[in-house]
Amino acid sequence: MTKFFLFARRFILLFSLVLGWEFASRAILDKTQATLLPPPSGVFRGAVELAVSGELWTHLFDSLRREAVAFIYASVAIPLGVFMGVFRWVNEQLDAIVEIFRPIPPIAWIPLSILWFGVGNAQNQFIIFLGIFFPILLNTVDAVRGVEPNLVRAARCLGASSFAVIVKVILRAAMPQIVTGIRIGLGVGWMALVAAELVGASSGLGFLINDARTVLRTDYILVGMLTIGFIGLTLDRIVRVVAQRTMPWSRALGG
Amino acid sequence: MALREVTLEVQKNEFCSVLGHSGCGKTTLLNMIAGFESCTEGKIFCADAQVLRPGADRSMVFQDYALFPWLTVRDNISFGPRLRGAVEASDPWVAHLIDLVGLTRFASHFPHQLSGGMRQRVSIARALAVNPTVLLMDEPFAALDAQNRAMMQQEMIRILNEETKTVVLVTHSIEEAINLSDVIIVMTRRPGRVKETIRVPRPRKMSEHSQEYQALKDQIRELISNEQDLSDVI
Repeated sequence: MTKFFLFARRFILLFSLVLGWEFASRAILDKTQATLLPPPSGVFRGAVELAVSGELWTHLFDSLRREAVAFIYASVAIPLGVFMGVFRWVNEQLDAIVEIFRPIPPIAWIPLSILWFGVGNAQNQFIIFLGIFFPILLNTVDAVRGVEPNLVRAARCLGASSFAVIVKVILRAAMPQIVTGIRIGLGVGWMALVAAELVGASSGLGFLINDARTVLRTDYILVGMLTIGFIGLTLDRIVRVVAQRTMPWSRALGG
Repeated sequence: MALREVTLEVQKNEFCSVLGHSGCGKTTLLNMIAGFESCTEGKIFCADAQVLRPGADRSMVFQDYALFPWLTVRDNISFGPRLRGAVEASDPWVAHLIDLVGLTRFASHFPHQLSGGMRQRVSIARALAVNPTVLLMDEPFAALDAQNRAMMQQEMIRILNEETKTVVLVTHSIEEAINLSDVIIVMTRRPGRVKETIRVPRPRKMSEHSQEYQALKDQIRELISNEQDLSDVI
């Protein structure tokens, strides 16, 4: 029982604030102000509406699908990063190019991408791709460069060819940090997704919250925002748990 | 320049220690034999084949073990043989080696679950698994505490009794060199040369407290201390 109380204790302040918010929204704010900030009960009702009508799930799956497709494309950053990490000359040539494009936030690409791809899935996925790509690339290069040299030497004096060294040793040794790059990339990609959908989509969570604004459904906006946050958190957690399970030996992942 | 002029010959199945202060180039010498570094002048031969790059005929045991953390004990040891073709991890040769180093109960463990001494034993078994012409050891027990170190030296003797190998061991411990070797190469300080080649009387059979042991130890200590740069001390 005590364990539960210790756990529940953390939510006292939050719960009080929510209660206060409910009270304020109903009793203090006038009608107009209440439209701008619906009470928790209103948000809850809005969530139920969206869930029952199926809209919430459609938008959610559309967003997730875009993130997934963009991720598949962005995973080219892994072999590219390995190449850049292993072969000095590749890194030397590509470094300047990477350093020009990397600092440009994915969001800044939105206007150009709309001109290139029009409004739709392709444009969205392009923006998300940019968000996911660079963290993975940078972490991969860093991970490959940081592989303990003696691991490579050990493999060589056990008879490993260069190819075997890259695939069986370097890639495996770099994997924890590559996964960290994936985790960060998915996060940045998710943020880029919301922005891209705000301006250039007709479905998805980003579209949902903007669309709800045009009809003053602030309760829908809040539902959308909370869902966005929750999904972002869940994606992060899933990657982290899978990583810790499959690579329990890595201290970098908290093993 | 790490090494000046070194001419060295190690006989088959001999245990050869290379002894000297830090910086005398003994690790460089070992790295050259392993093929990790190349010599500016001169050649190295291993069983009549010139050494140009690393290979499984000269496998190495490292001071920091260099075990593959994502592989179990068994998979680490079978890494070399499996590179060459269809060898199952359950191969009898691998099983024999796991048993030889006394880790049968830990075959499915990962390196991070093992103590330092156990990791080094895996490292030794892994290096032996590829049946090298010569086993190279780079201060393999330096990271262990004194007790474990002494124990591992005994283990090494026992292992080599079963799997005879030519060994070149680099160490800065005079006792370790005397305990294990047939021949001890004492190096000068940087740039290293061979100062003296000493044949150990009754290799691995001398008692630590015997006269001959102490005499040998004094002799070597004398040789090495003459090499010590006094500016290190002051």
